[in-house]
Amino acid sequence: MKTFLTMTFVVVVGVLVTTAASLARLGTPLGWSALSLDLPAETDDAASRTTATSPNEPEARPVAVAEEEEFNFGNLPNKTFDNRRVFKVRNEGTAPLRFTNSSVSCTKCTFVDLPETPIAPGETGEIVVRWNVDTHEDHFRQSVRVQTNDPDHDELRFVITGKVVRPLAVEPQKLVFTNVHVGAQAQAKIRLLAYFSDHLEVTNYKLAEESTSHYFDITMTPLTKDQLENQAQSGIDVTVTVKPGLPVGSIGQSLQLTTNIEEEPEVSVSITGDVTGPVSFGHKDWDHDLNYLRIGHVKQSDGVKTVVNLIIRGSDLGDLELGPAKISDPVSLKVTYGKLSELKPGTVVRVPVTIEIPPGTPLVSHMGGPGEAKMATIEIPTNKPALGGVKLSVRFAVIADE
Amino acid sequence: MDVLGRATLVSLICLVFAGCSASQAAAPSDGAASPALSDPIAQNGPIFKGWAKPKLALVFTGEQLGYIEPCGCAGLENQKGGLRRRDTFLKQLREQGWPVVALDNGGLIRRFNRQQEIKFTKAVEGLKLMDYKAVGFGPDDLKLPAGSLLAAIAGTEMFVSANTGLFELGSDDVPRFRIIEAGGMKIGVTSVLGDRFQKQITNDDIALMPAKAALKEVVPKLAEKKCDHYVLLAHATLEETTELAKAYPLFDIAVMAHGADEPPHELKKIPGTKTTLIEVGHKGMYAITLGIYEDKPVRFQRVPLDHRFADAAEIDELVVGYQDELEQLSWQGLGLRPAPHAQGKFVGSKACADCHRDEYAVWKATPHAHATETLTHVKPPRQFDPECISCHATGWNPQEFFPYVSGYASIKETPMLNGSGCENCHGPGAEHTAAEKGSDKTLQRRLREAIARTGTGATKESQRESCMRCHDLDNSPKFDFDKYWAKIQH
Repeated sequence: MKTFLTMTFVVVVGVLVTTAASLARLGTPLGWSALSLDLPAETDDAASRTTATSPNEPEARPVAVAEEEEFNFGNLPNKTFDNRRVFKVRNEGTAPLRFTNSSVSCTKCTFVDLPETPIAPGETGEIVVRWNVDTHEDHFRQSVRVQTNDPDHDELRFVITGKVVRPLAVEPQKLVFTNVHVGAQAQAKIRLLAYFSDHLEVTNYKLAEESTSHYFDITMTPLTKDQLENQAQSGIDVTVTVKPGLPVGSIGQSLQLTTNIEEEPEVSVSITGDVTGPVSFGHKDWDHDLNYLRIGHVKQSDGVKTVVNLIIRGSDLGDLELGPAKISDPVSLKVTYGKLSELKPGTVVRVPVTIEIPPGTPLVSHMGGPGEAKMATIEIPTNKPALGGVKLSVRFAVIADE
Repeated sequence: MDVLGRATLVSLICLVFAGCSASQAAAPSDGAASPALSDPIAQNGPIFKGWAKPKLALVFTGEQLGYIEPCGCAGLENQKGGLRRRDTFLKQLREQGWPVVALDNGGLIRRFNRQQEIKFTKAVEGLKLMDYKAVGFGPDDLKLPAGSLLAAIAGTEMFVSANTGLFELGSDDVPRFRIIEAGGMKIGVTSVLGDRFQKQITNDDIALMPAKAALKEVVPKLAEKKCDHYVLLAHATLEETTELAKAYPLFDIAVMAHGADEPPHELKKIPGTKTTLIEVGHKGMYAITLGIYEDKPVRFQRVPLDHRFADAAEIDELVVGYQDELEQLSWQGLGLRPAPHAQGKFVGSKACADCHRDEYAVWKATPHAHATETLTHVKPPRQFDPECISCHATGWNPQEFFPYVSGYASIKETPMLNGSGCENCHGPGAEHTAAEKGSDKTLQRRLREAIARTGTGATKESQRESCMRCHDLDNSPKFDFDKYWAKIQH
């Protein structure tokens, strides 16, 4: 609410100072002016910079005039520290200009040094913004806010921007193979770009998880000059192929590359994802590794109803039909099917399966833990012999109301 | 422990030691002694100064990257973002009678694992609660299994994409464009995933199309709708967004991705176009608001989602539910498989004390020793969250959030690994402690040397980097090796 009280107050004040503000917008001492846009725009604190002018103020007062408010460093190598920009502020007023406080947008990487003494009228002071480049991002923008005793410009803002360059860029840094169909092959690329060397070389590589390394093929292709992006000097495409045979479940592998780039001799790219069978289940509480639906505890009077998206893949699913579900505990679980829809004609079909534990169901546990009853199972027969029946387990317990 | 004592402990822990993404740790600030919250307005500036009620407020967010809560655990007053604050912010605008249309440029999650899948679902629930009208996709969103995506977004009527789809383009759940009516205006919105980001997706169930070609199909249909404004949510680089804006001047507003963490303070047009460019920053720290008026220029406000905005109760429930879900799933349910550590197995700090009594005494007196317990005191507790426990217990990978073989399992199962113990910096010590009880001097020397490489034999830079695996920018923004080291010197 505080925000809106402030807003309301400012709106009222704003009406009183509209004229002054409009004049100020034509060119403030800080050099800001409204942009001429079809969607005209303002800075996010334009009002704070352009209100409360009092040109006929008789007392002595400072006037802060920044020569520059934003500086683009251009390209900066990562892990370079203490990059500096001096922002000059001239005091065009008649009283000493003081910098009373400051704040930075990033306390770990951006620092500001304010003049130790007030800036006398007619003199220029220096505000030094220092920036340490140690980031995973490609671009940076940081800002410094400095409070002054100039009533018209009680806050100055200085912004530094630029692009971070690394000796070696790896994109992407993690490979994800989603839903690799069991028995199928999948492929993805990693691009290595060297920015300070015209001869990038991968001198060695290995797959960290030896037990599955034979399911992966790694090939390297040097990039031509035309393929190099963003002023990179040399590059290599690393193609990772997942060969058929990986078992259904999660993929966990890591590709470790050794390069000739002195600053980045070792590069590690994680390879994750999952291998799926012809049937997969979409539900926020579906456990993909252990293949069950986790409903958990259900209060007896509440019951629960939820929809699992059954995704079936095959080569000839155009006339797929489902038979009545066989349920291990038909008293507790009710199952109905929604309309089958072909997501990819003949090859991928979606069936919404509604699973319900009706309110009033007798107390029961199908939590499947040690000493507990097994999880309930549902088997959905199909008319496709190759596919057989679709089986799923449901983990739940109906508990008494408190 | 009394409340003050606990608060002090928690503060100290976040002040000096283990990092996490448990932003609710009640620490005042990283490195700050003051228990009082700083003034967010002094820190991040006032907002909406001089604004009249707009005819329509367009609120843009994006690249939340998994931060459903404010990023980091360095004290809430130091952090921006989180769905709770965003909800409060949007509610406040609506309570003032402003017609608000909230749009998100996608990138709800980062990484690929079961936890991200749950986060995606929670984030979608959060956006729905906040009444978002259009949401695009980021590349990591589309790395999730399509069935899970479908389960999360079906019926939400928020997602939109001209060039990506779940199994097909233009489905009911992800139409190629949306028309939104609010404040007496019609807003046409579509989104694209940039071609560069599409290359990251290896998911046969995701339909993809080059952005330019997709817009060629969608733009004429959008134009037919005769909207007052057209918005392109481009999850694309500046270069690609610029190219798209030049090719399709229909859009008067384009949102880009992959810019700097901090969005700019001023609105700009894309050079050579009439399209206004919106940059939203990263981690959901800001909400960019455009105020559209009947007869006045558009106004712009970069809203820092800091603690001037209280936590919204409805999102709080969602966050509590998220932590509950993590607890119920357990590490196994989250698909976390312990990986072998190159240096062997973990044994716990107490085993180190047999020989290194003085060092152990120093450690025991520091908040590192209570780092796990800290997580049990925050609301909601976070000891079941891999992204927190990886720095708050012994024997996990702090950056990739998985346990090592013999690493921490739970407070009860592995009490010797509670806290951020000796081995988190020095490496697993089981072989070393076993060797010291034997008589193989060569083995003893070799293993002592291995430990020394992380201690007295390490360079300052490698020690600093070791600390920064937890004391990173999000979780320990004021980390200064020399100052912090002095507090745990041993």
